[in-house]
Amino acid sequence: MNLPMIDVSVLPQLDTLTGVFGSLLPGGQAQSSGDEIVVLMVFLYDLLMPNG
Amino acid sequence: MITRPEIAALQADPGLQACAQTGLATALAAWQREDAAAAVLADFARYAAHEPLQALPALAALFGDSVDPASRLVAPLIAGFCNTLDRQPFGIVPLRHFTDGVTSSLLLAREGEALLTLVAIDGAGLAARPAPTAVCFGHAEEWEVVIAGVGHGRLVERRGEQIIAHPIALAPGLALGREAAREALIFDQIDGALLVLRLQRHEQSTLPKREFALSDGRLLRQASASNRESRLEMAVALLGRMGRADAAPQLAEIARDESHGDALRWQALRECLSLDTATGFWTLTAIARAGADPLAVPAGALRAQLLETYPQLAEVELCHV
Repeated sequence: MNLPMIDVSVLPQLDTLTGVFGSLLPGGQAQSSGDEIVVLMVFLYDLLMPNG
Repeated sequence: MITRPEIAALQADPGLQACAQTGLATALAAWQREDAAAAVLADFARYAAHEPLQALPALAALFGDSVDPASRLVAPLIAGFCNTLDRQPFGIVPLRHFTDGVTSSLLLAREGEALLTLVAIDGAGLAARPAPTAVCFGHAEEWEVVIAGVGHGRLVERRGEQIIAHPIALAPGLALGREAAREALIFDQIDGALLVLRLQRHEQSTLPKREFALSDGRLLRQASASNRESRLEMAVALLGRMGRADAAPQLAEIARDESHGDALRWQALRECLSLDTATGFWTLTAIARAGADPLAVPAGALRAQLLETYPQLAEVELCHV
């Protein structure tokens, strides 16, 4: 079966985009407890790619 | 570089620094041991474990008819910290704190999805900011009581597609309980400063936080309310950029798992299609055919579009059957 490679950039997004966690600033609402924005993320990844 | 003598002294003598911290830590521990705080903190732990506020008398009393319980709770803590900071101005308050110049907060307790926060809002800073044009709704139960200060605000309610604002006078003793998915509080004007005690319990939800225009109630933007979902979404994007075709089965699993939010599932589906056309297209077809799936309609549209562009994809389906 000869299947096409599909470029991710041509695949559509949903009609309403959703920002990442913490990207909605409360602005004039002064609602933030100031404790909800900072999240540390750790990524582990191979230095040698499986096909590299 | 200019180093003030007080800071130079702290740098030269780690004992001084430890002493400043010990003073603040002692003040905090003394407050936590006091009867009033100990009862509230014990109730707070049960509230974090999903007990209703009504069943927790010490915590519920903070948001009752009188401002006294809330005042009595925070006054000794503030006095303890201020006395120590008078003597050791470079000590660091051992509770998480934050300020943006207008809103300052001190996190009194945090457990699970629950937070108890003391919030101070500066009236002059608030007046210098542009008036709010939008209102944000999340998924949480929130309680507030004004401890000190006066001003004006609005309780904004989302009723169907409408946004309705009810003006409220902010004054000591005003207590509000809100379902944050439906009701939000906006501070418009404050004389001097306003001190508020806030209790929040976030709901575990994959539904996004949403921001609506105050003028006409239209949706302006939305963001994930779950840091876990956002973290997974970034990991999904990273796997895509790394060309990790071996991750396609896991991406397909995320895409089909309706316990995840739509945004994460759709990104996983896109990356899966791009990394492994066959696995991606099977997954797309399965979602498109699951009638009750909230992604069934966009998945059906994308499937039709892909079949038109690449007719050979029809073979994927036949092979799978």
